[in-house]
Amino acid sequence: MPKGSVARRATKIKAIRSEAQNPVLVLDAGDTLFGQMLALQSEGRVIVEAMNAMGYDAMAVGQMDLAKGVEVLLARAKEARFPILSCNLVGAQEQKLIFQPYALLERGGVRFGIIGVTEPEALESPGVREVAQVFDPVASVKKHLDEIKGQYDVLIVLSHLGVEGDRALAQAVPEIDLIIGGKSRRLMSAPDIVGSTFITQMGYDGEWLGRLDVTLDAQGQLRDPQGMVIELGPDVAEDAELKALVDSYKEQFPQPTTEPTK
Amino acid sequence: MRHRSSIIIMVLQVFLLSWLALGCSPAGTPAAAVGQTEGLPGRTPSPTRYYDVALPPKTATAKAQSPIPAATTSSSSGGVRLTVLHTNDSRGYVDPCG
Repeated sequence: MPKGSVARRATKIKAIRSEAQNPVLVLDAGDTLFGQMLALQSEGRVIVEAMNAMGYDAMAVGQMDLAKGVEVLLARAKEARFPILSCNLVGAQEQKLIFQPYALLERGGVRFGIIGVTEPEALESPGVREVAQVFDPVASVKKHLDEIKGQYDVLIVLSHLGVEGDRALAQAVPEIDLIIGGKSRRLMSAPDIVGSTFITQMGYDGEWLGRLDVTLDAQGQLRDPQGMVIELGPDVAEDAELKALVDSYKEQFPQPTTEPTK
Repeated sequence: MRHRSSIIIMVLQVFLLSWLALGCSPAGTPAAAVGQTEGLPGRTPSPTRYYDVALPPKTATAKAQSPIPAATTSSSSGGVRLTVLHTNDSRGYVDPCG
C-alpha cells in the first residue's frame, strides 16, 4: 500500500504540535529536495514551500540536494523559512562556506544548537566538484562547535554521512547530544546510542515521520529516549493546505504519462 | 555493431533517468545502506556565491550556561521533555510511494 506524501506528513506534524505542551522541533537530514519528477521540474520549489508550510526548523544539505547544482540550492535556501545547513561544504577556490553552518534556536525556553554536515559524495552531483569541496566532517563539526559553545542547551547534528559516519562522529565529538541522520535510509524505531549521543534516522522517500521524545535533565543531559516510527499510510488524512499546494504545482507542471508514445 | 552499442547505452541512460525521476523504492521493508544515485545530466558550473560566514546568533542570548528552564512540561523524574520530529532522504516525494 503506498505510503507517504507531504499532505499526510503535515497532518501528523500539525497534530503533534497542537497537542504538545513541550518544545517540538521538526528537522530534516537531507536528500530532500530532488528525486521525484515534480520536485525536479520545479527545481525543488514545491518541497521548500511544503517544508515552509509544515514549519520545519532546519535541514542539512545532502548529496541529492545538489542534483541541480549549488546555485539552485542557494536560491532555494533564500526562499526557505528555515536554515539549510552545511558546515563542511565550501567553495573550491576561496574555501568559504557556501551554506549556513549552524543555527541557534530557542523553543520553550530551551536553546538548541543545530549543525548540518554533508557527506563527501556530494561532490559527485553534477557540476559540484568544479565549484565546491567537502571538508572533513569531524573537523568541521568540531570547529563550528567551538564557535557556539555556551549558546545552547542541546546540541543536534543533522548529518547526511550515513550511520557509520554518524557513529564515528559521535565517538569523536561526545558533546553532541543527538544526531538526526540520513543516507543509510534505515528505519530506526529506537535510537542507537554511542557514549551519551543518540543517533537516529527514518527510512526514505517520505514514507514515515520519525518522532523522538527525550528528557533534558537538570544536569543538561538527554535521557529516556523514546523513538517512534509514524507510518504515513492511507489511514492518515491529507492536510488540505498541503494538498492544495501540491495540486497547484501539478497544474503548473503537468506530469508526463507513462503510456508509450506512438 | 557500433550502432547497436549506442542504442543499448541510450536505453540504459533513459532507464536510469526514469528511475531517478519517477521511481519509487521497493515497497515493504526499507533498504539498508542503499547507495545514493545521481543520474542527472551535467551542467556548466557557474561562479559560486557564498554564505556570509559572519554569523550572528539568531535567537540565542550570549549568556553562558543557563539553568534548564522549568517552564515547560516536566517528566515525572524532573527535567524537560522534548519532542523531535524528523525526516531524511525523502527525495522530492510529494505523493504516496511504494
